Amino acid sequence: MKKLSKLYLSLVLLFLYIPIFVMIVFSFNTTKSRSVMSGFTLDWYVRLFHNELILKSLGNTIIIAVCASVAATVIGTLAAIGISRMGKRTKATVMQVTNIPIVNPEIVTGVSLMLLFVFFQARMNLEFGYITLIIAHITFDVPYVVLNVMPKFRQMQPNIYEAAQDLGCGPVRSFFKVVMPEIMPGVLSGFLMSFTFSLDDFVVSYFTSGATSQTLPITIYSMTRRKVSPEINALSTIIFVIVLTVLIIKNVAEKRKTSRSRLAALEESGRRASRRRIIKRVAVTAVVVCLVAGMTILTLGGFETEVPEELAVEDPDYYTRLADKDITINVYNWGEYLPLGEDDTLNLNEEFTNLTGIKVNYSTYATNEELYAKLRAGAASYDVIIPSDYMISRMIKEDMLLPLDMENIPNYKYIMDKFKTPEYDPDSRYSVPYTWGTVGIVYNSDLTDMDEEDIDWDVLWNEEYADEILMFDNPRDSFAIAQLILGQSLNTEDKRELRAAADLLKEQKKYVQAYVMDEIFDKMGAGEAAFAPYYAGDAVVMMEDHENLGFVIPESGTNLFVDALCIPKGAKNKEAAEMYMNFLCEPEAALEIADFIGYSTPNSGAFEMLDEEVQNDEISYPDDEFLNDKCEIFKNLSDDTNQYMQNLWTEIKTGG
Amino acid sequence: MENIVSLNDVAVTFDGETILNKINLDIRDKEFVTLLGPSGCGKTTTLRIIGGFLKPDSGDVMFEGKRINDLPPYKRNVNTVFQKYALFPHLNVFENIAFGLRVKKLSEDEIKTRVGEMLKLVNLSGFEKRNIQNLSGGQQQRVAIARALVNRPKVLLLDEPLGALDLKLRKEMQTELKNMQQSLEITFIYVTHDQEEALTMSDTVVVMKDGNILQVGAPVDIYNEPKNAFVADFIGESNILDGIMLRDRLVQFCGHEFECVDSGFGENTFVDVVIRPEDITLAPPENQKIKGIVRSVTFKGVHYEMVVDTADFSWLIHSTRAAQVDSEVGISFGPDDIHIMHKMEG
Ligand SMILES: Nc1ncnc2c1ncn2[C@@H]1O[C@H](COP(=O)(O)OP(=O)(O)OP(=O)(O)O)[C@@H](O)[C@H]1O
Ligand SMILES: [Mg+2]
Repeated sequence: MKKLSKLYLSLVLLFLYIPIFVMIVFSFNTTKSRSVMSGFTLDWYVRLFHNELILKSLGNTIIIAVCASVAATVIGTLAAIGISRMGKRTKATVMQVTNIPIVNPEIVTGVSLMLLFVFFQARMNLEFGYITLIIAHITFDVPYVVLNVMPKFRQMQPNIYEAAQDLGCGPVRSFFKVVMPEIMPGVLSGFLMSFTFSLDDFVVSYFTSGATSQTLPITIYSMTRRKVSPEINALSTIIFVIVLTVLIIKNVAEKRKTSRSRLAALEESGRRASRRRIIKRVAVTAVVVCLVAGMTILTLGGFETEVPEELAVEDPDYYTRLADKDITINVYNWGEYLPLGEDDTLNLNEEFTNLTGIKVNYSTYATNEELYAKLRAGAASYDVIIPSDYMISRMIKEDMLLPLDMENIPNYKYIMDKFKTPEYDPDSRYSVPYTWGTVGIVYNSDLTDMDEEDIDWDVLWNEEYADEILMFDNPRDSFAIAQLILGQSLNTEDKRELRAAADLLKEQKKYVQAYVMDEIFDKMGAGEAAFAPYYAGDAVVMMEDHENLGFVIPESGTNLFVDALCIPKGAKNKEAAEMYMNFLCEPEAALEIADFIGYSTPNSGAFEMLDEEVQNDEISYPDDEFLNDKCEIFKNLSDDTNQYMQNLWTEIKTGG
Repeated sequence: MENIVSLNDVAVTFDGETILNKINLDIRDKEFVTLLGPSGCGKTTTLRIIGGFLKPDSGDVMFEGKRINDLPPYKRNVNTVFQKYALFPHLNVFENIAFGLRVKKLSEDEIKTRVGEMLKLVNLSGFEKRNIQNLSGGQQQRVAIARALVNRPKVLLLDEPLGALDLKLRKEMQTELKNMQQSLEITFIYVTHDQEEALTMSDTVVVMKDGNILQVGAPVDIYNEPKNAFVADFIGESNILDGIMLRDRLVQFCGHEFECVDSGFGENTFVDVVIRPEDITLAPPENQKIKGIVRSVTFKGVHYEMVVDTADFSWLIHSTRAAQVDSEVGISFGPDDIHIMHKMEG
């Protein structure tokens, strides 16, 4: 029995700590891989401190966590004092009520708070941002403080508050002199608990944050569309080490306290005590130094970077029109979709601000649907957004975008003709293409000797490679592949056609090892699978790290996707937003963007500046004929069709 | 002598329940008064009213002739030793005792001297730096007393201060407390539900039941002339029987008539008849009015405690000689061993 429980305990500990251990190890990995350790480097730590967005969100997170947990500690402690003096029945009821936010699903808390804030936003000019986030965090922090403080009242010697008054203290002084020291441990742990809960809250923050106050968890989540960068491992490692140190010090201090009180029974040796005091002081100082150093690095941000040459723009005068108006625009983009000074890139937002005097508030999302929901909720107002093709057509249909004044975007002339007047925005009135790409097949040359020309979509149905095939884990992309094989339009709304595509996908299921999205990077990198569909730009990045990987765009045709700059209704600074769009269309800026993301650029000026080798690369820049004849862009499907496809997809994934 | 504390028609209710029922009590200066009564009878509540932690719903609390109903606890010249000591766990022995002096902002020197004196008085010299949690119950007890006494209150309230101690320590502390009270000349208002403790220590005993004061008097008076059967029973276990006072000096119970010494109850009145266990002697059954079977015999040190069952009553008898279990015995007592008491109202 004893052995069994020991085994059980070690298993539990193993499960708890192995992930953290793995994370720490891979934070020193030389490549981005999460499965193969290829060498030791501190690179990710260096890059972390150059990543403006991560640092800024970390700063936001810390500010919000500190404010919210301090406020919650005060409120919660006061509440606990009140509750502890209530009658038994009232106490039980009130405790039930205070506990509701804990048992309540976070999503309900988040949504209801958002609705409340939207209600006040309309009436009282309440902006979504720090204030709403802090209020929301206080809401879910307070119960934890109450829960931590209440038991201290219960454990407290009865009557000590009265005893202090009996000895001549007034009520308030009595509280601080004798009650406070007793409940202090509860207050402290309540504070620590709410601080950590605030630090890593995602759901509630997601619904209550605005354009100006993105927190770290949201930023990290928005990065998952591509691949979570090892910088996050580095950041998590740092946070883990700090938390660990704080905990160890807390425990050591507590242990010391109890052992000292035991010692007090004997004659206390002054020397021993003073040595301990010194150790404690050293430990505390060490932590403080670490924190201060960390904070300094954080505030200095991208210090001592070799600043790349300044970006050249065509018509500098154009950009100074709004310089003295003190404008700030809110930009909402995909995660890792704009260079911000990481890896010695240019920080385009900073460049823009230097050039125009317009400040940029930058926040990020992970899916089109997330962007749509955020705009629909009306919680935050954005000036520039970057949705994908089908989402743009939906937003146009639902009257969510503002028509652009092309006079203000002279650089639109650089957009290649083939990307003008696309189907999703037939008159090019609402969108300026930002990046584009195609879907193809990643293969591992160690696991197949097929010629590249022979690889087409049907390889994903090849029995020979059963269990070595990966597939997209989202309905639209997966259906598209089946539809390409069946020769259907990728935008068909015909239910019989969709049913046929679904049948084909069902047939494929027995060969599929896993339905995945960004794990494709790791699985392919580690040689776990032979074939997987993925986006061209990401595949190129993958191939840089792994020589044995290749990428083909099937000759039979594929899906072409475009992400484009738009201005949503409700934008407060349309002219500045257009200036920002124009800036991103400067050939040099567009080149930086294409370099950073790895996707293809629709900007002819930037294209001209590419190496000839890249210009002729069939993966990134297939020829016009292929693009025109064999590629189809997603359009928005009707709700009915979307639902039908979703149902079929569920059927495919859950059916036997 | 003057009254230092008086309660006039003091009433308290909690949630509609009467806890103190318009009690009246006068306490003289430098007296050792004990509130005695079963658990839940309102002893602590009475102390809390005097200490100022509870305001009576009606009635007056007087201190040296002045009404102090609205005076908060920290302004009353009264200190309390709480039922569970209520020492401050985060302070050591010295600081606990010095607490009240520090509040008064006395000089460090004076605090040192006075705390030192107190520690000597309660026999804890050398314990200054000790942590409260590492003290024994008796030591904590004495710290609590020192913490209250160091402020030199006119009245010290003690709420079952010896409740947690073992018998031997208890006896010692009883003597110590009594000595302290006499040498310091302070009024002690002492709460206990131990009748022996009340009788040995007090100048005056106040017997309480269900929020009422049943009897106030010197220990000897209360013991010898309990006002009713409850007091008699509470002060020392007694045999209490239903009886009828036929006329003066003649009472009927257990189906027999007995001569007694009481009069003035009228004729054919229902009364309680109280006979103390130590006043009964066992006799051969033959020529006794009451006979019974011995059910149990327990050795109690000085005497044996026996239970004898008769047809309608179970008798408690103390005797230095033991009877045989299951044997038949006669129960014998004289006329002056019979105490007649009015039935309690209700
Ligand atoms: N704060 C309160 N709220 C409600 N009822 C209370 C409160 N304090 C005391 N009581 C009730 O008042 C009655 C008297 O309580 P009190 O504490 O005075 O009894 P006590 O004589 O000191 O008993 P013990 O010997 O057990 O300490 C009890 O029935 C108790 O339940
Ligand atoms: Mg009590």
